[in-house]
Amino acid sequence: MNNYTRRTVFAGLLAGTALAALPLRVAHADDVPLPKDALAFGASVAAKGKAPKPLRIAMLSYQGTAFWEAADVGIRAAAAYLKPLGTTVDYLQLGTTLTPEVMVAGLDAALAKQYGGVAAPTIFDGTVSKVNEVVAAGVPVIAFIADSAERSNRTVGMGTLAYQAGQSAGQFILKQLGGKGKIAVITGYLGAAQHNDRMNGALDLIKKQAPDIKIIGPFENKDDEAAAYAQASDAMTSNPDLSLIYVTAGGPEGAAKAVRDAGMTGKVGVVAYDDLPSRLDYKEHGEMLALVDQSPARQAFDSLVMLHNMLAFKTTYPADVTIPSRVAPGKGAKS
Amino acid sequence: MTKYVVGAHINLTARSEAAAARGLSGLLDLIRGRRESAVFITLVLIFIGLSIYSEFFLTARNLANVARQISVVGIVSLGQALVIIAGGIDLSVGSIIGLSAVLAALCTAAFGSPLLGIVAALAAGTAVGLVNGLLITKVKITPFITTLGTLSVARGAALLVTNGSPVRFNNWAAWLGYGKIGVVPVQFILLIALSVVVWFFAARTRWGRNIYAVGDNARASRLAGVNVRATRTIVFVICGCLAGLGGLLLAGMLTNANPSLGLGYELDVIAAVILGGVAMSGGRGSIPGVVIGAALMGLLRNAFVLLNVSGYWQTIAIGLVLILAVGADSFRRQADDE
Repeated sequence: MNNYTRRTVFAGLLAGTALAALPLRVAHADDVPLPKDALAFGASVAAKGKAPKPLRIAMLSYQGTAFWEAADVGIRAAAAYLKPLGTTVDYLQLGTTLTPEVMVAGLDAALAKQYGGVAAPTIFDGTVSKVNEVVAAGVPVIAFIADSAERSNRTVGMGTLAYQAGQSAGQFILKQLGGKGKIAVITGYLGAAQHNDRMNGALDLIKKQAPDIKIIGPFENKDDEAAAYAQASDAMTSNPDLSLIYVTAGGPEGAAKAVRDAGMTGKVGVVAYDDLPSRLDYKEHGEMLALVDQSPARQAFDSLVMLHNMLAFKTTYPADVTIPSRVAPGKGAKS
Repeated sequence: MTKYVVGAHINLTARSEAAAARGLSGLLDLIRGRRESAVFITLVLIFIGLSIYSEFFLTARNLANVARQISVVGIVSLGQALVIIAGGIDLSVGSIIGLSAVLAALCTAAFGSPLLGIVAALAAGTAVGLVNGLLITKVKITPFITTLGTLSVARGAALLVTNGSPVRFNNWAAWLGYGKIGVVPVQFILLIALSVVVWFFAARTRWGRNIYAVGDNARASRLAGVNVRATRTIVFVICGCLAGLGGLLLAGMLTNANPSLGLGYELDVIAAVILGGVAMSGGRGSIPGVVIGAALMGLLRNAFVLLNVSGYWQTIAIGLVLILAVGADSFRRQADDE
């Protein structure tokens, strides 16, 4: 081989190696640091780097309550974080009606708009076949907040385990009551699996570990604050020895207000879910002993970043990601 | 003389007894003739039952709870009753409650004036009521469809202006919702006062008579010179205004204006109105009956908690009591007709 040939071959090999190494270098970049606002709400999944080609992913979520507003915080943070990394997050707002039909319509829209990935709080069993259809079309789906009771083919299911969240609440309640007392239970909808699991998780534990604790209810408030107020008022009236009110779903502010209006702050406490700004006053004042948090902002953020990593870098994640139930105690809680 | 006096006395006594018997019989006939009598009797029976089976029922605190719990539904039912008597229906009352509540809170926060908040709540309800009335009378859309539409618009507006998040409402105006005069909740005093006003309006004024006439036969009323459009519009305006007041009271009671307040209230309100003897076909009904209907529903819900009735049975129980109360009246009327 003459010198010219040798130099040509060497140059070619060098160019080829450089070209081959380029995507590998991008694919294995260091994690992109999480922004401060995301760290503040507990975001835990960082992007692996900039996507090699532009990506479009869809976030489907509901509106109309402080809880979904909290999820929106995570969605906006993720959209801002991922934009410079080549991923556009389209937020498809489903409105205020939490029904399977609404979610199915949203998933249909996401399919029609040919998104690369979808994150959604699927919640209902009626969404299973649509989720399977989306996955079968090659679009990964991350179900967050609450998945359907019937398991779909979703790529990742993220959320707190409602029964275990109930057990966390139950443990906290046992610590507050010291093994005796009386609890009134107010639940959102008796037919809602998540509400039932939260209720049963707590009550099963309490009945097992402290059989002397009396339980009254459950009373169904349909997530309505005014109904929770009325039921808490009546429960305190008819049970002067009431120690605690356990609210498994929406409207616990009503129960806390009823405690305050009855002058029972410090004597009757409320344990509920979702550590939201609208409940801060009752935590500070002592009516709300604790709120079991689902970290909706974190779940929304993490699910979108996971989709980015899956699509850009073929990252794989476990099929089930459990978000720990964080018990946020109020000022009146016994430590 | 004595014989005459004694005779007169005996005669007077006999006449008094006869009059009393006629009076008692008349009273019984009056009760039997009223559509709401079966519901009233059901209410009394539940009241007596609770007094016996729950040591806490007749306490001042519990009676105050019940009074508070029936107030908002009762107040909104007064307006709904006028609408239904006039031959319409208003499905938007629940959404008006939510919209009025948040506008009261937002106006108070924006201008630092709870008085403006009160005005905003009442004005919002009145405005939606006026829109309902005009759409029904001018554009000729049926009340069901019109108010179904404004149900969505009002609820959506409440969510839009708050972004779905509740707004604090903790000021002197909130006292209307949570305050008491003595042991009596202010809400309940408002219910009683408004019941008297609305009863007087419906039963003792020309406008009230027009409402019944229009509900019974709109065509004949028009031929008789009644302004049917104005009558129909005014009942929706009153209903909207009272729903606005309901929103203000709920926000005050909770010191928190949530845009989802009042969700589903339209069903409770309509049920209270029907229970109270107002005919869905229009033209018949009484205001005291509406208050009785609202009281029955509030008392039932109080009973469930006092007696620790499981939530699984509560919905069944409410349905059975409603069927029993209204069914008894229908059965009696059929027997009378035969």
